[in-house]
Amino acid sequence: MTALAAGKKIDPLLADLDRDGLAGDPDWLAKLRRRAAASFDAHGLPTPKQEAWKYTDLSAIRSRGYRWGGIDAGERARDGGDSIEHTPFVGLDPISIVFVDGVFAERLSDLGVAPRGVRIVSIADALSRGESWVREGLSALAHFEDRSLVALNTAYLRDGAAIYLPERAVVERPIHVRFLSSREAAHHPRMLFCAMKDAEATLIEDYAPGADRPAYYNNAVSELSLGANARLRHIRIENEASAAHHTATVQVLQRAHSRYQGFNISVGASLARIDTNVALNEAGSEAELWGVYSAFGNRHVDNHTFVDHTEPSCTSRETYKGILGERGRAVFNGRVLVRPDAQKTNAVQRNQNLLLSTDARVDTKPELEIYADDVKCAHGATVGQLDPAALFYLRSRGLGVAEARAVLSRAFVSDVLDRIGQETIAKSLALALMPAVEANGKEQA
Amino acid sequence: MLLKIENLNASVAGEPILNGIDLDVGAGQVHAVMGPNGSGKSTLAHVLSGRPGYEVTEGAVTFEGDDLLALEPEERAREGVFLGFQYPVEIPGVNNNYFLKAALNAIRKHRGEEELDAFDFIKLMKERAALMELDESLLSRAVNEGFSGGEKKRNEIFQMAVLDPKLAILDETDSGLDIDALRVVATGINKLRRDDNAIILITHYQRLLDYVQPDFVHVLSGGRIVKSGDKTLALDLEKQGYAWLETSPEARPVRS
Amino acid sequence: METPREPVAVDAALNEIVEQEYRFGFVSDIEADSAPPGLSEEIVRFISAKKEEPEWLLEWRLAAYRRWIRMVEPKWAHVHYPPIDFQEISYYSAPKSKEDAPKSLDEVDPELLETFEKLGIPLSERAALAGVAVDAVFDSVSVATTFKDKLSDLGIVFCSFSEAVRNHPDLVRKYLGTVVPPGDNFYSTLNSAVFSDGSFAYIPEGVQCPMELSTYFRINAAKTGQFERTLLVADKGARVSYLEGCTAPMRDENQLHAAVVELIALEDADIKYSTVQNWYPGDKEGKGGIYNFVTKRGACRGARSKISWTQVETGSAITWKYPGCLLIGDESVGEFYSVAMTNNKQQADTGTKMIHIGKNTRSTILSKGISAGEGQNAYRGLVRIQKGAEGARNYSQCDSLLLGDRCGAHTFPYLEVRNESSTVEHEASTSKIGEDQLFYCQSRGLSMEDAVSMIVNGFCKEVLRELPMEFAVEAQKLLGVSLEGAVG
Ligand SMILES: Nc1ncnc2c1ncn2[C@@H]1O[C@H](COP(=O)(O)OP(=O)(O)OP(=O)(O)O)[C@@H](O)[C@H]1O
Ligand SMILES: [Mg+2]
Repeated sequence: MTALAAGKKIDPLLADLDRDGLAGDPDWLAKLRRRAAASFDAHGLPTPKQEAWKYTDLSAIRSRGYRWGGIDAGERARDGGDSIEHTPFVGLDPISIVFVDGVFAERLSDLGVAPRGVRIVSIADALSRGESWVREGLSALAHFEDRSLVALNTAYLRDGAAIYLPERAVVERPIHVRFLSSREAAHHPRMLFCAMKDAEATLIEDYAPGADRPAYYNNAVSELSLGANARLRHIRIENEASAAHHTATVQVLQRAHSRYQGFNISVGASLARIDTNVALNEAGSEAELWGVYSAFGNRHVDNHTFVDHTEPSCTSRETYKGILGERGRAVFNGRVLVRPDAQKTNAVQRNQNLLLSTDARVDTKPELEIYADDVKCAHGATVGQLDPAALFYLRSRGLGVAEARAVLSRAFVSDVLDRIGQETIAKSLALALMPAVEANGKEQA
Repeated sequence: MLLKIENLNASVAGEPILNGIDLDVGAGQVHAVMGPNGSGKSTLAHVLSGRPGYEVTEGAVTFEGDDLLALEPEERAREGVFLGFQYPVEIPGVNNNYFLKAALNAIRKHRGEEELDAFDFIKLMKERAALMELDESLLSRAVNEGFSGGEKKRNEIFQMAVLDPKLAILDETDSGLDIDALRVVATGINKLRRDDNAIILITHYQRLLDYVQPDFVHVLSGGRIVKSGDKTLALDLEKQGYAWLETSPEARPVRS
Repeated sequence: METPREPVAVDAALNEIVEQEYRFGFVSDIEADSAPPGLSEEIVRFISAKKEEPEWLLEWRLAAYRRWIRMVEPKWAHVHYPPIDFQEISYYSAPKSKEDAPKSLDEVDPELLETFEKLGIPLSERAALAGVAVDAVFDSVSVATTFKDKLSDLGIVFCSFSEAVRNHPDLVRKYLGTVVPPGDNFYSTLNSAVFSDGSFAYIPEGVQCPMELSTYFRINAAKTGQFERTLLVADKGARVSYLEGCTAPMRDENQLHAAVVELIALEDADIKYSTVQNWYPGDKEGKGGIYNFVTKRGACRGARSKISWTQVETGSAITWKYPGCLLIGDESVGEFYSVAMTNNKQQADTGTKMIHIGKNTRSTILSKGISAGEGQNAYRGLVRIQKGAEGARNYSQCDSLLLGDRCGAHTFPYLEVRNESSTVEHEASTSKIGEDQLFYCQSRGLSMEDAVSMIVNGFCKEVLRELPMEFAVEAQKLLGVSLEGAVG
């Protein structure tokens, strides 16, 4: 029996695949898709019965009955997608690569001139040219065997960004990958990032609605691999339409002495679930995970992080902060695993939540699983409200209640936002964090 | 000779830090060891007290004629070597009184003396606390936990007063002390000074040596004793600093 | 600060610590009256009949049994063991003594008295620990309860569970299964069907129990399980401190202990429940030992009531228990203080559940895990703040100490918050025993073993001081046994 049978609207993928027939696939890709589809058919969408999905129910996605295959070429051709507009972050001057409804939009992109040997291309493009590093990279990190959302993405993988940095390549301009969505369908954006030894870049991966703010489902997968001593600053922004659904798996693999700095901002979709998995696979690597999320209205946001210390002398630091108001709901699950040989591991994890309304809700579960003895590991989680003393202090200086609350709520996450090091992004996120009503004094302290 | 150090070479994490130290300390003597930051003073202290991770690569150290380096740290303590830590360690949940009683009785047992009962022990503690002008309430707290920097240093000297070692190595016990505390600590040290024990004072400042007059002053640099003299050497250092080390040929550090 | 490399001596000292002996592993030669192995309706009826129970209790057991056969063993805990064959276990074993139950302590089988004497629990009131009333449970039945009369002068009921069913059926019926309902989980349901004996205590309104109440559990017979049930009710304004201790002989096969403890605190009542769990942990290779799968829960039903759990878990091959509090009354308080030590191949998955329901309820969780040898130690805790729990507060701290490079320490807290005026804080840390601390102790003349014991005891101090005096000493000793008997 396939678990899918529960959500009747969904046909088994294998059958779908044959119908949608992603023509022109090279042989290896067709095989990969079929394996992924078979795996998805075997497991189905996750359900709250699984421990990792205890607090997040995808039945809203299931019951919407999205077409898993997204929009086919015919449909796309009919309305052209030309109406989509795209406002880049002011003053960022990035190399930009934009996708609309899961497909590369050359019109909106600015690939500029990349340094020698650096590849910044659309996956579809790279596939059609048979670029071998894309073939080798796809599914190398994001295994789909027991992760059905990754399987789903892999079965329907159509396009996305593929970035390759050869040894010692330093890309100064930030690389901005934007996924715009405009039509009611499921899209499966894919990111492939591969930095060789000593390479460096800043990558902005962001998800936003097209002009008409429709309902849609993005099921993203990103695979990032960092060679020895490579450095990546990865800013991931989920600012989807408020009716949209978003699930994502970010898989990071780190080699010796590499440094991954991840920022994970989630503020948009009505249902967002982001799995960030970092494998510290060689000695001396360092990962920093920073997260900011908010949930207002009926939004549900779930961040699962997994930091896997397999080798000695690696460091991980993680801080996720959330602001919850109205009927917003947040889930955080942070797992740190220190395997038997990972001596001299240093791992810290924090999750802090600010509850602003009676109907908001938080479920947080930081986990430490440690099998080595020479380690320093700590985690902490808090759920609380604004400090009344600070609130009073601001009011005594003349701020209104709502304003004071807004100021303090933003201050709560500002240390993380400031670290992004991109002022215009931080500013726009600070605005997206809370609905205007919060700042306009609808709620009372 | 109480302590005899010959051509002592030691390394930490594979890195040579001590590069041939020779030093004789006789009973009744006070030796001051000075030298720039990172010259190896604490390393010398740690090697003498047997800190794990400090590897002696060459040379010998005898204490009352016996090989000191062959002993475990606790055996050295029981033989009468005391290290006053530059950074005393906090041990949460372990009561100071209890800790000292366990330590003192382990040492007494080793010496073939009767273990002190609770009553005699408290008496001794009170007496020594008074000597060191130590606030007794510190004694019922956990070892060094939450102590201020100065309190920790005083506690080290207090422990020395209780354990009554033959050789005390005091690693920068004077730093972090206020003027009054410095006087108290120095007075304490002087009171504990006897013909049959010895003290190695590691310090950066003359002000301690004003109170505790050393018989010898040594300057350590690059893991070697580059100059020895009487107490006037310390006064010279106070005036001139260590800049002369750079120029003086016999004082060139081994590591650059 | 310098970070020297791994001192070789630490390993040696830790090894010595790992090579410790279980002190209570002897077997008493006492003739037993046992049920044949296996579980069926007949066995449930047999147990009930043996205890001459009223019809309602038999029905209650049977209902639980029928539920249990449809349940599956939980698998989510961070422990591993071969499947248990529930048909291999004998569900009843009682020491055979005179025809009828002993009327007074003088009539108790001297072999039994001697057993408890050996365990350090003298049952004769003259020799008894002053200020502690003991209910001694041997295999499936309670063999003696001390100071019963003295307590009954105050209206306090303290007796074996069977006796309570006979003499205070209304109280038992009113409260039994109201905190841990039959069907709560696999093992508690099993217990509801086959529980044999245990302790019962009722402290009437306004009474402060003048002495510690205590139950001492001893598993003796081979191939038996122990399924005792404890029910403790503190009426309005009552106060009681209750202690529980346990041991078992060394046997090669694993034995199952699946107890249920229910606590009920009415308005302004205060219950302190302390456990020193020292079931046989199995040998160094992990052979034998008790499976300790226990359900303990307290309900703070009344306003301003308080339930405090303190546990020192050093025994058992596998421990699976989460003493929890339902904080129903406004301003009620729940506390959980725990030291869990796993050595050799022991596994523990333990923690607590604090369910905040009433307004301004508070809970504190302090958990100290020590892993040595190949021991696996997991803290699993749930803090749930229900929607109506205005102003609720929780603070949790879980620290783990690792002694050796083959053990594991794991922390799985679940924090579920549905009220915006509440504050929940959780902190956890894991580290190996401090090398600089060890060296500091050694440089003062302490041996490595003493230094380790001292640091471990210091690490547990905040929990140990929650234990009543007599127990704190016992607990320190136990930690000492588990850590080479040098702690004093
Ligand atoms: N664990 C270690 N690993 C590597 N180097 C070390 C280690 N411990 C000490 N050192 C180095 O050894 C040298 C001597 O250090 P030491 O602590 O003995 O200096 P010191 O003379 O006591 O200095 P200070 O006056 O600052 O106390 C320094 O360069 C120090 O960095
Ligand atoms: Mg120093």
